Amino acid sequence: MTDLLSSSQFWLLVSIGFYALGVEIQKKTGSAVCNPLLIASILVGALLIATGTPYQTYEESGKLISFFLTPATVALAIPIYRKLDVLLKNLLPILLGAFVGSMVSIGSVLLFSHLFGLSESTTLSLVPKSVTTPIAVAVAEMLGGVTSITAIAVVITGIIGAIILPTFLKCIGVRNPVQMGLSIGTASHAVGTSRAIELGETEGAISGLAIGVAGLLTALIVSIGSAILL
Amino acid sequence: MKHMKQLGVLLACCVGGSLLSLLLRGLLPGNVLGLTLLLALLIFGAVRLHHVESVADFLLQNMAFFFLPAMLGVLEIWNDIKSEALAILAVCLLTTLCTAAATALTVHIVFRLQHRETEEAFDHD
Repeated sequence: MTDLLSSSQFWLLVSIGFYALGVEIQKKTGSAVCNPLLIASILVGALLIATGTPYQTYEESGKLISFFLTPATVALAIPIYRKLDVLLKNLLPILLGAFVGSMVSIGSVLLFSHLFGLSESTTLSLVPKSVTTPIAVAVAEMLGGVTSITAIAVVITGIIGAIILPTFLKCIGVRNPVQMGLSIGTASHAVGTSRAIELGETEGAISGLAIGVAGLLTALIVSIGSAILL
Repeated sequence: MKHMKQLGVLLACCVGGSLLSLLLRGLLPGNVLGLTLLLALLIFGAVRLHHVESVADFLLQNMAFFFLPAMLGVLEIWNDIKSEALAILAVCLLTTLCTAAATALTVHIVFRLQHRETEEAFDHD
């Protein structure tokens, strides 16, 4: 039994199984709250705690899964290329939208962290939380934040975005698919995009594109900003 | 072999991106540069869609899953962040709404400005 609980194949299987279950639950209920990543996190987490398995053991198989984040980020070039005409036609609104969104993301993190009395190291860890993990972690490292906090905040942001952004944006009057996709992708990266894809082809592609554009802009804003301020 | 080749192209862009990042002294993360590199290769026709498509689509369709270990990392640092957990959650929620609203508003304003320009152009005709 101990052998089984410390084998990376077992935890990989458990991860895939619970994620697939999450996808099924979302399909059956059609509810955004039943986010597959959220469901898988809770179930795998509960199993780790119930079996008294330390996170270090899970990390072995975790590394196998996280490995794919970087090639997946690079693969974002494909939706961008497929929708190159939409991108070029809407270049100005997309670039300006992602730029203002990224600035507001960084600014509002600083503001709310201050209001809620978060420590400086936690605040710095949260600064890049709206962009996809590999980029956010690199930016947090640059700032001297705690990367494990960044990684978690990124995922929480993604889940929040996937659950509430489509409804929230519709409520504030967003109807245009480019506007919808860009807002979801800029605010909640790949996890939000997984939901945007369900809204429509253009929403999904522009949201996927926004992950790259907002990631690029956030990295630029932070590195230029810290060069000026420090 | 087809999928191995496709994964190879993607990994080559990852490595290329990391090299570019080193050359730029870490100004931009390697994955962002890898994405840019692949896009440039596609635009200039050095890489064709069918060289990467099926593996890329597999990765993109399952992208949320790859975030699972990062989320479970909360188990490891829970004791350190316990006292700030609620505030972190609140910051994530509020800033996500602010960011999305600001992006949507900016796109809206730019669309209207561009629309007005086209209308003015029509007026001059």
